[in-house]
Amino acid sequence: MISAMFPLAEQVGASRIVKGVKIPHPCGDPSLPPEVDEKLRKSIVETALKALEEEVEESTVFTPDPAS
Amino acid sequence: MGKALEEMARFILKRLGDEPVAAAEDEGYLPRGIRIQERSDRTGADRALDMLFDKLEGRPFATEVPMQTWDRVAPAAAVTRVGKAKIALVTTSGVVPWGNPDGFKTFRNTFWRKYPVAELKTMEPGVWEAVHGGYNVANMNANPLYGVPLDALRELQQEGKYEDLYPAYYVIPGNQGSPAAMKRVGEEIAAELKANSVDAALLVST
Repeated sequence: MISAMFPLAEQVGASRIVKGVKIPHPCGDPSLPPEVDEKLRKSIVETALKALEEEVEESTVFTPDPAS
Repeated sequence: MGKALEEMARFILKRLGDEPVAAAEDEGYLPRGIRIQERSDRTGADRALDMLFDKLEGRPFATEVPMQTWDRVAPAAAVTRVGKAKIALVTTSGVVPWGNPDGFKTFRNTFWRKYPVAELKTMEPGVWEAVHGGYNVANMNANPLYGVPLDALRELQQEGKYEDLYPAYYVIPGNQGSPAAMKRVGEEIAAELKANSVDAALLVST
């Protein structure tokens, strides 16, 4: 799950939670130049794909790292 | 057993006699979640304060409006090879085709839809709109990729980070969804994904 409200997602027991940017724009940031915004979005989605490969027992938060 | 049967017999006779039936905890039957309106000579504020004082003093108290409870779902097992996986995108952002053809409401929706994106590389502004009463949709309308990150998904697919993207995305505007309705919606979507051999879903939530 990609969500900017990750504390709430944890509280209700979502299993794999990826930190989104803000509630109105979880997959990116409109204040960034378009190409940087695209890179950020890609890093969020890639983090979500990687999270699928992780074995988790309980709510686990994954933080995208756009620099990587 | 004898005592329980005695209680049950008393209750059955009451039902047969068309007598008014009191609340579950008074009569001893299993609560069915049915609320019956009744008048009180005390305002809600007074009753709420009584409840608060009882709580603070550690006295027993009963809520007048029980909260709906959320299920705990055990995390699904990891996908062993995401590089070979079929992925689907699900979102509660409320991104739908421009004009909202299926008439989603901005809150308390009870159904889901899926919209085809098989031929698309990205989500163009003006083709999609966000229907959602829980956040300011200006950014989402200007760039629907914030809710349906199709550009990133296409790039990552090209790079071999996963194999296949389900040809449509699933959506319900999540605002004020009741747990019961959202649970059913989740089960219906999950059943479809399973039937279509989807290995994992990404859920974008606003």
